[in-house]
Amino acid sequence: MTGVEEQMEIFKLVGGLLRKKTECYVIGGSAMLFYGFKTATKDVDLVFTNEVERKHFIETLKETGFARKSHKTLKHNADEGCILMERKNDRFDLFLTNIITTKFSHGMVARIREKHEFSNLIVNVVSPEDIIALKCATDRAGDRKDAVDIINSRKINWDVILEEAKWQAANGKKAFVVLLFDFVDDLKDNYKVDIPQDFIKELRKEYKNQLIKILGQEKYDELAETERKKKS
Amino acid sequence: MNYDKMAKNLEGLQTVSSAAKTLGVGRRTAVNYISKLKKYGYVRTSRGKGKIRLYEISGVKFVKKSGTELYDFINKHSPIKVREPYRYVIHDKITAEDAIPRAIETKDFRIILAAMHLFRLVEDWPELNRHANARGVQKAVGALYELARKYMRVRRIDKRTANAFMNAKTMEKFIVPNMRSRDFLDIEKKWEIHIPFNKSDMERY
Repeated sequence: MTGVEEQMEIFKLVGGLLRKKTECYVIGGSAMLFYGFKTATKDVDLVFTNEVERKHFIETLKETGFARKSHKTLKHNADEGCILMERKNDRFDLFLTNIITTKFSHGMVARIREKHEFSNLIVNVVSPEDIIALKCATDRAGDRKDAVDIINSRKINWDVILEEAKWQAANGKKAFVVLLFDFVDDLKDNYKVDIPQDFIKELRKEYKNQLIKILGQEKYDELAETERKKKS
Repeated sequence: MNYDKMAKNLEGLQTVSSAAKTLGVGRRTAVNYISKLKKYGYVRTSRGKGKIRLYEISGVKFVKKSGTELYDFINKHSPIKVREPYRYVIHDKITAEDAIPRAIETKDFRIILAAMHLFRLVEDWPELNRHANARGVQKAVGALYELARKYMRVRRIDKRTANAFMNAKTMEKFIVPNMRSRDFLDIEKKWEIHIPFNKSDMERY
């Protein structure tokens, strides 16, 4: 587990050792540390938009005692495009543009809320809305709990999440809206989170459109019919 | 009283009046609530136009961070205040020599105007040149220095640095995209870069 202070210390250390300016985006639990939503995270998730900078960062991490780990050492299924670096209790997940199946969008870049400069390392913190959007692509209970914490302590701009979902559906993962719908549904039912009705209505509309696109009208009608029967 | 809920309800930038309106209470009560929220770490205070108090209220307690914020540094030293578009924390020592090129890099009219005052604090001109060179804004720094000299007491630049600024190669023709000056054409011509300010902008200095 990495705490706020440890995370800052590692960034300072790496920033001081980097020979060239390197920019990255912090997402997930480590972004939550910057906002104060959490006090510790299992891994520090960083997204790079450029392979050269990622390589540069990895080389510098190695100088500080981190070693590359294979995905087989992990219990959950990690993304092959992600590079894992580990040192005792600290772990870095280094992504390049794609985060598992989600694309790191221009909208996420434009919405950054904090920028931290540690000598040659520039760390941009994605917005709370984007943290939630990125968490919906996974199936872990911990991620749902994190999303609940964010929603309960911040005013969330749900339109931003909806727009991001539409962008992802068009440019990245086709089923993103479907995943988001299931995620929101789960938060509403199991965690009793207060989510605006307008957003759910819009999302349901998008969800239906996406399902038709993915399955085709006939299969969608069949699926809707079985759902209706189950409910009745 | 549930202050967590209240903080979330008031999240954003508030004045006493707007907070009172949101909470549906009188001004005096709103002041008391804001004071309590401040005590619990949900509020940061700044001043707006006409010295009115502005309260930045967050749903989660503000995390005390190491490092200095660029916009705090500008606000501390300049009579023109800026509102941060996002938090920009620098975890090294920040100086005027470092802050001027950073402000120019933002390409934001008001931030650059506010940062003009920092020329008064510059002591190490080669250091300013080093930072400006790293960010590719030497010509802009040279032009703004000359403009600053017209309106405020600024130390004289050494000739070596002035020459370095003058001879710098840059493709940038504008400091702020598509903004040019009506009043400082002589400086623009000399430095071959468009200054975004007019005399009326500089009157505040």
